[in-house]
Amino acid sequence: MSDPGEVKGKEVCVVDDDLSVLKSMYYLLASAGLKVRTFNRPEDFLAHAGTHHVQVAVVDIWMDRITGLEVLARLCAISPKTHVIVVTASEDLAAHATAKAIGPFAFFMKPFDDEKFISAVRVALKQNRK
Amino acid sequence: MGDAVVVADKEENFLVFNPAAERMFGAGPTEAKSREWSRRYGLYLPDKVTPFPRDQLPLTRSIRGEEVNDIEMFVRRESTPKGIWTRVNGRPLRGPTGELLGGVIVCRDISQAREEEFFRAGQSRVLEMIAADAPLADVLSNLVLLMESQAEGLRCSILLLNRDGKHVRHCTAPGLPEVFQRAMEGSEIGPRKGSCGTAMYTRRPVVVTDVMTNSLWADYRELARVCELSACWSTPILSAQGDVLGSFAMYRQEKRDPRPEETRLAQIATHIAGIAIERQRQQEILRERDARISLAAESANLAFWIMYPGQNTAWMSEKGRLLYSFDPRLPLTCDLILSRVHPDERTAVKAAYDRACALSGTFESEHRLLLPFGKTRWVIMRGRCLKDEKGHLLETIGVTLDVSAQRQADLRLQHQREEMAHRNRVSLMGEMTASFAHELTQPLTALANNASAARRFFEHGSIDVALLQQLLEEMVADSQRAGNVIHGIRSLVRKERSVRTPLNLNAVITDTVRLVRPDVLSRESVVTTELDSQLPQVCAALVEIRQVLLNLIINALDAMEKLPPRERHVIISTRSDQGDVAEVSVRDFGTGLPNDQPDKIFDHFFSTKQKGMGMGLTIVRSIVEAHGGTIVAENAPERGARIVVRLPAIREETHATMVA
Repeated sequence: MSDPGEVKGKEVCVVDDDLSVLKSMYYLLASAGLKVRTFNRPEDFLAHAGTHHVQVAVVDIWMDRITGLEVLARLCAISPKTHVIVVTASEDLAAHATAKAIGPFAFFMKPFDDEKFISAVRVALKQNRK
Repeated sequence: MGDAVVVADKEENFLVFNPAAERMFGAGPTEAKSREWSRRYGLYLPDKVTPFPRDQLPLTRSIRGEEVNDIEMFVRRESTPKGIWTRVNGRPLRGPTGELLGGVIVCRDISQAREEEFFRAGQSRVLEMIAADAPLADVLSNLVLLMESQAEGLRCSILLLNRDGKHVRHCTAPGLPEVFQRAMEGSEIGPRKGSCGTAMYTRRPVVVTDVMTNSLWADYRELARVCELSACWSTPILSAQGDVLGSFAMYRQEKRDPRPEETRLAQIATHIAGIAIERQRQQEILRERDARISLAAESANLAFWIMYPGQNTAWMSEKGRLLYSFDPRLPLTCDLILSRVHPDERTAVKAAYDRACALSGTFESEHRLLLPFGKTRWVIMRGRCLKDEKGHLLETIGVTLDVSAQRQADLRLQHQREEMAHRNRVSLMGEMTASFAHELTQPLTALANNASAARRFFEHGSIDVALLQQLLEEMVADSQRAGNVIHGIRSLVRKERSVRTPLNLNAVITDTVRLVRPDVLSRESVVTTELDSQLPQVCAALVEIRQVLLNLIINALDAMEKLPPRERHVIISTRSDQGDVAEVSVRDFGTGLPNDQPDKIFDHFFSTKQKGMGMGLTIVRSIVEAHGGTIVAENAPERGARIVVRLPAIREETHATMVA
């Protein structure tokens, strides 16, 4: 998917194995003028994060082959500076707790408020992780 | 006896009257002229009563100059009360110049030949009666009368032995007083029971010359006196197998032994009576068997029928006509019987019947009958084709069983099963809230995102038609997907009867595993699949198969609740068994099943779980069995349980069942 515009040169990576959700995330972030890179397969994203600087990653924690939690854990190891924004369609509180323990930048339940989500992404793009 | 020769002149004066003629006509020559001959010499026409007309007398005719050939004449006089049959030939007597002088007749006594002929005709009549199934009593009394006609002063009787072999059932003695018959019927046979009782008891002929002195008759002397009997000779009547059927007896008023011709008569009578009695017994046995079969058939609600497809005619038992609502007198045809089959099933039933006829095999079909006034009945029809020795179809013979009551009970049971299955599906929904929420949230999130994006693009004025169109298409697709999820949920909850279609179980498994993933993940478990790509298709209802899989998956997850999360693993595998069966097994790594009765988990109230759905596995079994499949539970190697479902694969040649 091509980048529709550039915001301060930094891009948002979106990881979701649900293609229609992934596309809608792309349109949503692009409509806010953000530069977006999408990944349908978490393995591809982890490979990308290993070789590129990733400022912000939006990760769905329910995915088929590798669970979202595993992606989060591996991302922490590969790219500790990446701000992770977790989205989930699940109401499973135990999983939420685990995800939150990893220390995400923000946590959203699907479907989420678009304004709050976009502003969280913007803040994450501006802030550098210590 | 030599031939009688009589010669008379033109004036009817006897010239020759030989001794044989004197014996035959009971008198010698007289002065009497031809007008008195018939009366004087006892001459009758063959009807034995009409005096022979004067102008037709053979001697009269030969005196007239006629040649007379083979005229039969009956002669009876006081000295010959039985009468004599004679065959007469006559010739005219002529002088040297051919002038008529008188006539000569030669008479041959043919009485014996005529009597034998009559006797044979009499036997034939009795045999014909037997063949025509005349009542046995009539046959026997005709036989007795025929025998009595063969000798002057002869009286006969036939006794029938009861099937108990001990008592006299029936007595035929038309020439004896009724008191004799009454005394005989019901009497017991034995070693000293008159001539007949003893003959039947010993199975040998018994000759009693004088009943008044013979010890065998000690009990019957008074009867003999009343009936004026002196001698009694009895012969047992035996069946072809040697069983005693009865006895034939001859009585005389004079004390003597039987003459050879009387012994011969007894042999003939015994033989014919044996045939008559045995035939009647066989028919009795057949009738009894028929009665037993129809009794059995009637109490089993069975209707018998025979169809002759070649002639399009048919026969049906009384019960059958009742079941099919046919008038008892209505002539039946194969078409008529078939026309009672419900129109929805008629083609299929006819095809099954025709196929059985063509192959000369058997057929069975369960179908409805549509009777007058719209009444319907459920029946099972079973038949078999019979061929003649050349292999041509003769008839189909079979039974129809009314299973309406059973069918109604089945329907009630099916209804209850469906009700239970429905409750199970509703409770499954409760078990899968995470999955359904997730399923629905995904398209709704996408929809919201796409709508928000479109709004933003508008606000910035940075949207082109192509982008707008794409967003709208995405939104349409998202809402359709959400609709499909709701449709899927509804199909699980709906009470509608499910339709069976060819299914690829691998696809259903993949789909179901994907659906339940959120719940699996929320239980910190893993479900993996090992699918056989050669798995044959099955004919099944999608919703029910999905219900089976969901129950088995949830059951497996429940069984592993107490395990550490990384050990909670469910493996669903498929396997084709020689292409006949599609096998699905769901294996967990939980505590396994009680070793003594692993299959007990399919029973209603058996549950090893605290929480759980109770009925789940019972319903799984009923669904699997309704699909013609089997289900077993067993302990897996190492640990855990394995539930194996086997469903029949769709065959190339599908068997035509007519169960709706």
